Amino acid sequence: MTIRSPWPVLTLILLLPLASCRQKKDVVVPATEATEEPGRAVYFWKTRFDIDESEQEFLKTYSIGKMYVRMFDVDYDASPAAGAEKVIPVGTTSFVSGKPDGIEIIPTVFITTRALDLSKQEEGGLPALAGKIVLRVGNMMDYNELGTFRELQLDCDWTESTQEDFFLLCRQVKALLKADKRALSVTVRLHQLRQSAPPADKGILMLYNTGALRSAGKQNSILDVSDVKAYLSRTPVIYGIPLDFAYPSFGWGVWFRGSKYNGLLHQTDFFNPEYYSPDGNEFTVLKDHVLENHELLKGDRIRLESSAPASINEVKELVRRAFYKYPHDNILYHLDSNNLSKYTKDEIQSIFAD
Amino acid sequence: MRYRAFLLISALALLTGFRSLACGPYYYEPEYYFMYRVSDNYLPSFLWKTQPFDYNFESEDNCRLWQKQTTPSASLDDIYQVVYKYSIEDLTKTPSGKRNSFTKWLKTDKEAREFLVLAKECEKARAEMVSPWYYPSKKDPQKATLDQIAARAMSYRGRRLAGRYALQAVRALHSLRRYDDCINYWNKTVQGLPDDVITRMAAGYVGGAYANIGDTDKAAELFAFAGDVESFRLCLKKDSLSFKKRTKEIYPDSQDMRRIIAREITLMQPWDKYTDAPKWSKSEVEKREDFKYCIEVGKNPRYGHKDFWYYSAAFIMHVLGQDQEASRLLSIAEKHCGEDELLAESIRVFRIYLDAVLTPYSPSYASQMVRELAWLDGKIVEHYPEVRKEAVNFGIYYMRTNISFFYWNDMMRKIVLGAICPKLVENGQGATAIAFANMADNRLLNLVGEVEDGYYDKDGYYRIFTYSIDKYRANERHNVYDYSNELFLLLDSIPCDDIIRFVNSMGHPQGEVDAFLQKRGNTDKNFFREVLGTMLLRDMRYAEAEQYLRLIPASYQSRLNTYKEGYLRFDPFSVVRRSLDDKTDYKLTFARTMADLEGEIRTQKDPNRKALALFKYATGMQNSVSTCWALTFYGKNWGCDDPAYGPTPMLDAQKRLFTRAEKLYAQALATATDREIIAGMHLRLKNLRTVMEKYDGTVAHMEADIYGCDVYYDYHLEKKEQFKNNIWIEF
Repeated sequence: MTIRSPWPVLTLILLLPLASCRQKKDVVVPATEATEEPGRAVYFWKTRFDIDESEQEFLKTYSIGKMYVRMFDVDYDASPAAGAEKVIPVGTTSFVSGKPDGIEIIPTVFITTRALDLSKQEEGGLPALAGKIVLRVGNMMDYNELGTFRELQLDCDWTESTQEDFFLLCRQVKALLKADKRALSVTVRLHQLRQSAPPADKGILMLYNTGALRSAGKQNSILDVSDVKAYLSRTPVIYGIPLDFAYPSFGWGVWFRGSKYNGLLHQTDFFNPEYYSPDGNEFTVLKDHVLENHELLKGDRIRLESSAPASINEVKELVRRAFYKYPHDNILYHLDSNNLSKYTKDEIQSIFAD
Repeated sequence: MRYRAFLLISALALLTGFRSLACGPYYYEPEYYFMYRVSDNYLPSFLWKTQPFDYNFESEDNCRLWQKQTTPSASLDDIYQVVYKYSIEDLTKTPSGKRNSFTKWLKTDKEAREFLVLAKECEKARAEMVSPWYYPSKKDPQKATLDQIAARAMSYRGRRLAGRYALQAVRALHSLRRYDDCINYWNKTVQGLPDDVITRMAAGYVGGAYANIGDTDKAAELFAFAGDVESFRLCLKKDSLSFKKRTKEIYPDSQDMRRIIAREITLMQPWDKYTDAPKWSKSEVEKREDFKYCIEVGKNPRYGHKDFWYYSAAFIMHVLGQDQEASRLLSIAEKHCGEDELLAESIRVFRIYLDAVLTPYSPSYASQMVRELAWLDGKIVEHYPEVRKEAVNFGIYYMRTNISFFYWNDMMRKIVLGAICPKLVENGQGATAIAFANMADNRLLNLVGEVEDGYYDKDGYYRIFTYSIDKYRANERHNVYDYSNELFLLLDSIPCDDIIRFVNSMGHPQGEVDAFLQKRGNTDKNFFREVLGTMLLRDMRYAEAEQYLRLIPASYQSRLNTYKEGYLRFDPFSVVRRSLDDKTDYKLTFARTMADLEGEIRTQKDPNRKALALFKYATGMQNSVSTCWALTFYGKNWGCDDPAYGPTPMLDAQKRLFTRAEKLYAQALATATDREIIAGMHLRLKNLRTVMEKYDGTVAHMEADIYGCDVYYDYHLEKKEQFKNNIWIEF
C-alpha cells in the first residue's frame, strides 16, 4: 500500500486500527525513532560460489552478518531440448567454497514473469512450482552445507499484470516455509512500491537498476538519483511489509551498435587508446576486436556505468526521509572483489552506516 | 491419440470455406514445403517447431561392440532390445531369454549380465534425477544407489568390459556431482581404455564434469573427443568466434559437422512469405558462411561426402534465391551420388524442382517432367502405407494447409502446386494447370481411399467415423477439403474458359502428360461441371452456365457445403430476403431464368414488359453476389482490411456485378413508359423520395406512404455512396 499524498503520520496511525477492523492487512507503520544500527548484508549474484580471500576479508572487515545467495533462476525453457517440464531452474549456482564462518546464508531465487505466467499451464500450476522451489532450495542448502536457512527470498520483476500470480506463489511458498518456522522475503523494485505489498514477511527495496538499461544515451541505468526521487520524494512512504535496503556496488559497460542495445560487458576498463576513444562516460570502439566472447566492431559505443558513492549517499538520504528511522538492514549488491576494490573503506562504511 | 486428433481437427476445422490471409487462420503456401532432406528425420512442419533433429550415432556402434564382446550369434536387433529397451526386471526375470538371441547368450555370460544389470540400475537412478528440478540432498535414495554403483564400477578389474564399467563409473559420479572424483578416476583409467564408442561416451561425462568445475577448455577437448558437438559448442559459448573455427578444425567432414550443417540448412528454409523469420533464422551473412564452408569441404580432395556438401551448397543458393547457381552446384552433387541412397533421392527431387522452376514449359519439357513426376509418384505409392493411418486421420487437413507430413507427397505438391502451376497460369495454360493441381491435390487421397471425420453428437459425445472418399464427399457433414484446397483456389481464380477446356478434356486425355494427370486426379465430372457452372454465373454467362449445370443430377446439390449450411434457399429475384419453397436445382433454375430473361430483353417489343425483364435480370445479378452469394461462391469471404492483400474475389465480383446491375436498373427505368410500373420499380429500389415526390396517386406511392412518409429518405443514394467507397453491403 502506498500513500501518494503527504498525509500526517498521526492521522494515519489513528485511522489504521479502524481499517484493520474491516479488512485484515499486514500494514506496518514505520517507527519514527529507532536506535539500532542497521544490520549488514551482501548479495552474492554469480553462478559460481567461490569466495576468494579478499571477499572473505571484506566479510570480516565490515562485520557482514548475512549473505543473500542466488541459488538459481526459474525460467521458461521453450527450446526443443527441454523435457516435459518447461518451467525449470536455470543457472544453478555451483558451490565451490563452503559457507563463510559466521555468515547466515539466505537462499534467493529469481523468477521471470514468463515462468510465472506459463507455470500455470504446467501440472500443478503455481502451488506445484512453490513446492519445487522450496524443496530444491532445501536440498541445495543441505547438500552444500550452507547451514539451516531461516529465510528464503523470491526475486521477481512483477507488474500489475503478473501481480496476482506472484502473490499466489508467495502465499504458497510462505505456507510451506511456515511449517518449519521460516520466513519469506521478497525483493521490491521501486515501481512495485506503488502496488500492494506481496504477502511476504519482509521486502528488500532494490535501489539499483533504476534506469533504462537498453536506451542509448549518457544516463546511468544502475543508479540515477532522479529516478529514485520520483518514487521516494513524497514522504512518508508506507509499505505493507518491513523493508531492508539494497544499494549497488557494481559497474558494467553497456554495449550499443548504433542505437541498438547489444549486451552487457562486465569489464569496465575501456581506457586503452588503441581500442577505445572516450567521451564522458561513453567509449567509441576504434577497431574490431573480441571481448568477453562478443564481437565488438569499429563504431560500436560502450556506456560505462558505475555506482558512485556520492549518488548512493544521496539515495540513502532520500530513503531516510521516506521511511524515517526504523530497524532495517543495509545490503550491498553485490559481493565481487573486482567491483568492491574500486571503493574506499570509508565509502563502504558509509553505505552500511545508518 | 483421439484427443490429439480432436484438438487438431478442432483447430483446423476453423479453416473452413475460403482461406484468408492476413487475418488468419493460418496456412502455408505450397512452395514452402520443406525440401532439404539428408536423413529420414522428416517431421511434420508443426512438429519441427518443437522437436530437434536427433541423430543417434552411438546406439548402433554400441550394439556392434556388444556383438564383438559377446557373440556373433546375437543379432544387432536383439542386442538393441536388451541394451536399450529392457528394464531391469526384463533382464533379471527372463533368464531363459525367450526368443531373444542376446538374452539367450547372457544366460551363460554372467559377467556381461551383471554389467547390464548394473548399467540399468545406474540408468534408473539417473532417470529419477533427470528432472531439471532435481538437486541431490544427503537423504537421497538415488544418491545412495549411485554411490554404490560408482564404487562397484570402479572396483571392476577385468579387461573385457573395462570401458563399459568406466562409463558407468563416470556417469554415476557425474550424476552425483562428484566432479573431482569423476575427473580423477578418468585420468587414472583413460590410458588403459580402448578407443571405441564407449570410451568416447565416457569422455562426454568427464567433459561435463570439467565444465561444471569451470574448466571449459578441458571440457571442450573432451566433448570434441566424445563427438558431442552440442556440448562442445555450448562449452565454447554458442556462436562465439572460436566455435566455428575450432569445430571446423576438429570436424571438417565428420558426421557431426554434417549434422550441424544439415540442421542449419533445415532451419534456413523459410516458413512462408507473410510471417517474420523465426528466431533461429540465419542472417544472409551466416547463410553465406555456411555456403562457403560447404564449398570448401566439398572442393577439398581430402574429404568425401561430396554429394552432401554440394547438395547442401546448392540448397543454400536456392534459399538465397539463386536457383541458376543452385542448379549448377546440384549437377556436381549429382555426379558424386554414391552409396547414400536417401541423399541421392533428395538430390533427384531437388533437380525436378529446380527444372520446374527454371525450364520454360513446353511439350518436350512436359514429357520429360512427367517421367520424373512418375518416379516421384512411384515413391508415393511405395511409401504411402507408412503414413496411411496419419493420412486417413489428418491428410486432408495437412494437405489443405500445406503442412509437411509425408515427404514424397509433399514434394509432389511443392513441385506441382508451388512451381509448375503458377508458371502454367502465367503462360495462359490454365487448363493444364488445373489438370496438374487436380493430380497433386487428389493423388494421395485416392490411394488412401478413406477420410476420418468427427463431430459432437446431440448428447455431447465426440464421434469419429471413417468414410470412403466418395461417401465423405456425399455425407451431410461439411466437406473441409474440396472447396478450399489448392485445386479449388485455382478454379476459383482462373478464367472460365480454362475450366471449360479442362472439363471438356475429362475422359479424353490428349497425350501421355494428360493421361498421367487424369488417372491420378479427381475424376468426378459433376464436381468440375458444378464449379464451372458456378464460375460462369459469376461471369454473368448464364446460358453457358445452364449448359453445364443441367448435366448434373439434382441430388448432387446436397454435396455442396453451401447447401448443407442452408445458403441455397433465398429467392434471387426478390428485392427483399425471402426463402424459396422449392430449392431443387437452385443454381440451374437461376441460370435458366437469367438466360430466359436475356432472351426476353433481346426480343420483347413492349417497353414495359422489357423494362420489367431488365429489372428482374438486374435484381438476379445483384442478388447473386449479395443475398444469394451461394449462387456464385462457395463461402462468404469478407476479406481483410489489410490493403496489402488486395480485394478478395468476392468483393471484386460484387463490384463488377453491382456496376452492371446499376446500369440495367437505369435502363429499365428509362425503358418503361407506364407510370405505375416506373413507380413500382422506384419503390423496390427504395427510392422513396422519388416515389413520394413524383408518383402521387400510384399504388407505389401508397405503399411508400405506409413505409413512413414523414421520415422517408433515399436509401438508394446511401447505397451508391457505400458502393463508391467499396464497402461491402450487408443484405
